[in-house]
Formats: sequence, structure tokens, C-alpha cells
Amino acid sequence: MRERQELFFPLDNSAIFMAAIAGRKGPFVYQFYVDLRHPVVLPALERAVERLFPRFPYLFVRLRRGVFWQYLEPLDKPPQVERLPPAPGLSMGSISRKGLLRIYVRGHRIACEFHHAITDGTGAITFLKALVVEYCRQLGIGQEVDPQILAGIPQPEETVDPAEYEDSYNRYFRPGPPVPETLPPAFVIPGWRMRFGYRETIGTIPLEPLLSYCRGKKVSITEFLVAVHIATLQDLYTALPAKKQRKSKKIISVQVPVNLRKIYPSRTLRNFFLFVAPYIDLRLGFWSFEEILKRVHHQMQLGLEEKELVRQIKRNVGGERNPFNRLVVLPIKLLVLKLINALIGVGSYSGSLSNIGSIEVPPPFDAEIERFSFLTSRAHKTGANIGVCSFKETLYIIIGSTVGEVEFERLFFRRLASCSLPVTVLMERYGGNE
Amino acid sequence: MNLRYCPACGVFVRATDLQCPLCGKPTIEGGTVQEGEKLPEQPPIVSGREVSATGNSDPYGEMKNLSRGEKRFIVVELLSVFSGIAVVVTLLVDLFTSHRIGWSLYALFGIIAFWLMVNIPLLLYRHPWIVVAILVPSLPLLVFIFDVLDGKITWFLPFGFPITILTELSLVLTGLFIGIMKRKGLNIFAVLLLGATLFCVGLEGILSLNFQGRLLFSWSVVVALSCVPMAGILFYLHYRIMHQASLRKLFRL
Repeated sequence: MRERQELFFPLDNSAIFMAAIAGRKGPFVYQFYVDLRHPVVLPALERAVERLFPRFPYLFVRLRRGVFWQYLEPLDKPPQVERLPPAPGLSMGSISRKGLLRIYVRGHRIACEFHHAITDGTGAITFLKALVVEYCRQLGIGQEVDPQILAGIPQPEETVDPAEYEDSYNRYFRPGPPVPETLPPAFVIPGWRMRFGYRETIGTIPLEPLLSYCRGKKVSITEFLVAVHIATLQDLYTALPAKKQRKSKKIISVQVPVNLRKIYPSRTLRNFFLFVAPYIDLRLGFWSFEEILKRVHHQMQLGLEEKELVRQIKRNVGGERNPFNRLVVLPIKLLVLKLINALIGVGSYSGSLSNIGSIEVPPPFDAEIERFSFLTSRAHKTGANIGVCSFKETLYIIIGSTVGEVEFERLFFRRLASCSLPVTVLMERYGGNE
Repeated sequence: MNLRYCPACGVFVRATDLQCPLCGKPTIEGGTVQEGEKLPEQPPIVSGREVSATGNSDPYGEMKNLSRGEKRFIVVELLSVFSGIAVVVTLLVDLFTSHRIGWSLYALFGIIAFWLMVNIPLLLYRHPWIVVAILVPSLPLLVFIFDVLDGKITWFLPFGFPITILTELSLVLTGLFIGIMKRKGLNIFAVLLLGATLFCVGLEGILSLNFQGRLLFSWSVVVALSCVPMAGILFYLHYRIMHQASLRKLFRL
């Protein structure tokens, strides 16, 4: 018990920034959820959470303030499973007593909300898979499954590997490289933003036709979807009246999170990602979709090079390691980080597209699952962000939006459909009647 | 397995949950879990605490198994026995050496005062206001008895009574504030400092009124000037910084 009281986790580099600038307009709270084939059995889920609680001490944490840095402190007891709130992804508050991972349930759905200060999409989906598997086992499903089959899905009886909570940014920091250039302010989706409401628009595409389309274009699925995202934003820009066009920013740039575990041999389940930001400059004229696709492909390839990524690590981690910066007391650090964000932060991007990739759960557990999905964090500045994941033979594209009008979603899916892809769209609105 | 179902949340809950633990609305009967599915066995609940399924096999666990109330009662019993022995021994020594009961009466009332102050709160732990109602009149009464043991009232009215009341007031206020604090830590020390300040200021006031005939504050002001800012710093550290954290966490560079 004493050991647990003394246990704490320093924030990783991304978490330092996100914990500092999180607020109502950008809470950095995202939701992963799974829709099951049957209504959730609450006692079994509560027991699964209880069993996994000691296995993920670095996720069941709350944010605390020290003199120089914020840190994560493990919770004393597992969080209570709550009813799915009407408005997802609301701010958890700068210092939250409840913890930064919350588990919700309603009907067939188990949803986990994560603050980005504790983990990224990889850590989140790893936890959700572990939760679903343990939930099924509590119901008596898959108890005889060979542990080898469950490799990669943490089990409650396993001990916690310190590699799971290491700060990999610091591990792969190199002091030499020059920092990357900053982008000018970017165009964002025009229109008013809902204060509490959040709209989730899910598009599903069978993987096979999508893969063959992308193969034909010699691009990856992510590159293709980023190109669609940029082209949609360009359509919105073009549809603006001439006066508004003149006043709008001329760069369209989409942030694409890169899972650094695929580049560095890290097993961390905390944040370990950086961004590649393909962009077009509207001052160069109208871009055809083919041009955008080609440009995105090459920019992504360049951005994914280790030498490029290490420049970002240098920029981000360098400041954290600077002895002078370390001695600055926390309130001043928070103020400076907020200022940096206001000046060169989210303003440089028009939106983000996060592709989690294929989510795999072994049988017999997969038979209990209808689909996985995730809702990106609200971002008032950009308005709408896109999450992508695939389960079994279907790709799910989820647009989370606080924009009052649905024009962006309409244009985005219309463009996908225009590529002869069979898109099915489903929309859910949460909270707010704004 | 039979379960209940919450139509509002759309989830199955335990058969014993007549209201949904998520939304509080009434649940309905008729839920069933699929073939092959079962609910987890819940550990038995004993006296509000969960016990392990294997039972308690700790050979040293008897004392641990006692409830807090039982432990408090044992402390009261021990203190009563020791106090009784101390009273008897003191009286006997006084009788043996002086052949009468004289100084031992002071010791006797001292022990009674100690017994009251320690045991009444232990016995009436859940009823703090009854503790206050018993101790507040008891202590001035004991002080009064101390004064009249020599046959005349001398210091009780100018000093004994007001200082006892001041002590009680400081203790009750300090205890009250500590009691209502939700999260305890450095804030306890801050309240103790403020309580001590109140006591010092009051004490100097009582002494100056009796010796100089008017209120004069000198050393107690120095105490207040030292303790009040220190209490402020402790409150700040507790509520803004520490949150019960260790220094290793707080001052990590």
C-alpha cells in the first residue's frame, strides 16, 4: 500500500503539453468504444474493471500538481462504471479527482474516455481490448483460450512491465538535429461551433474495395483519406463568398498522428506519437484531387522518415530537458505552454485524421463484438476531426464535429462515394440543442 | 442465469438490484444471459468489508479482525485499570507516609481529569457533541475542586475559570475545524497553529486584565505574527500543491 502511495508517473512529453493546455475548447479527451452483440451485463463489467485495475496503474491515474511539474498519481480504487453521458469528450478539468480514464456503459456499448495525458490511441485500444476480453471471461466466454493466442492483450494476472510506462520520447531523444520549421496559420472549417453538443458521423466502407482502390492509386488508406480530408476543406474554401475567401487563411494542413512504436522498438502504452502534416497552399491555385493525393503521398513518406521525426522529438523534448526550464515553477510553465499553443499550436492545422489501423481480437471473443469505434477529442478551433479504424472486414471513419452545420461531413462522404466506394453513413448527435 | 434489466440504460444488472446502479431508475425482471455465460462470483460481504474467498488464515489476525469500536473499548479498559492502580497506589503512599490523605487528592483529581479527557472521547467517538457537553462543564468543575481542596477559593475565579474556558474554546474550535476537513494533511497543522494563537492571545488578555487591570498584548502579538502567516503557507501548500503527496513527487525536477 505504501509503495502504491509513493508511486507516481512523470508526464511524458506530449502529456506535459496537453495537460497544460487542455480546456473546454480543446479538452484532449477522446473516447474508444465497443458495441457488443448483446446488452452489457454490468456486474461482469465491474468485475473486469476491478481485475484490470492493478494491471494498468499508469492508466488509472489522476493528474496532480507538483512545484515544478504536473505528475500522474495512481488511483486508490477502480473507477466506478458510469452511465454513458449525453455529451462525450467534455473537459475532465485541469486537476481531476476522478481520474483520467473513465468507463461508461449503455445498452450494448462499453465506452472508455481517456485524457490524452495518459495515453495515445495505441494504449487506449490495448486497454479496451483487454477490458472486452476480461469482460467476456467474466461471462464465461473464452476461459479455455490458450494464453499464446492472447499475446499483445494484457491479462489481469500478468505483472506490470516497466517498459509499458516508460517515457519513450526521452529515450529516443537526440540533442543534435535542428528543429523543424513551423507552418503558417491554416484555414479551418467555417461556421459556428456548438458549446456542449458533439456530432458523431460514422461512415463504413468494406475494406476490400477500398484496399484495391488505394492499391490502384499506389497510396495507403491513410494517405487516401487525408487527401479526401484536404480536398473537402478545399471545397469548403471554394464555396465561400469571395470576400470571405480573401480573409481566410490559405494553407490547408491536416495533422496525421504517427505511431512511433512502428519506427522505434518501444513497448510503451503511454503517449508515443508525433505528427506528420501534409498540406496544400491555396495561393498556388485550385488543386485537383489527383494532385492532392500525389502531394499527400510524398509528404507523408518524407514526414515518416526517422530523420524528420527526430527533429520533432528534439523540438519537443529539448525544451523539457533544458535545465533552466526545469527550474521554472509550474504556474509559469503552464502559462508559457498556453502562450506557445496560442501562437504556434493548433492554429497551424485545419484538422486531424487519426488512423488506429486494424483492431484484432481473437476468437471466440470477436464473435461478441459488433464493432469498435473511437471519437476524437473535441477541438473548437478546427471544428471537426476524423478517426479511422477497421474491425474484421469493415473500415470505420468517424467524424467528431462541434461545427453547427454538417457540410463538412456531407462533402467528405460524397467525395468518398464519388470514388465508387460503397459508403454507408450513420449519424449520432450528443447533447446540446444549439 | 436470471438477472434484472434496466430499460433506461439497456444493461443487465444483478438480480438483487431493484434500482439501476447507473441511473437509479427501477429495473425489471426477465433478463437472461446467453447460454454458456455466467455472472462472476462476488466475494461475500461481511460487516461491510469484503473478505477473501479463501477465508482468513492469518494466525496474528485476531487483533486485526476487531472493529475500531472494539479496539477503542480495549484502550478504555486498559486506561481505566492503569488509572485505578495509579489512584490506589497514590492514596496508599500518601496514607503510609503522612498518615492522612493530603497531596494525593491533587493527584487523584489529576488522574480523574486525565481519565475523563481521554476516555470520554474514545467511548463517545460517534457523538462529538455529547463529548463536548460532558467535558466542557466537567473540566471547570475539576479546576474548581483543585482550588477548594485547601479550603478556600483563591485563583479559580480570576485565572482558573477563564483559562479553562479559553482552553476548551481553543480545543473545540480546533477540533471542529479539523473534523469538518474533507482531506487532512498539512491543513491540520495550520489549524493547530491558529488554535495555539487564539489560546496565546486569550491567555495574555486574561493575565493582563488580572495583573494590570486592562487588556495589553505584547508577546502574544509576536506569536500571532509568526503563526498566522505560517498557517497561511501551510493552507496554501495543502490545498494548492501537496494533495497528500510526498516531497519526492512534489519537488521532482
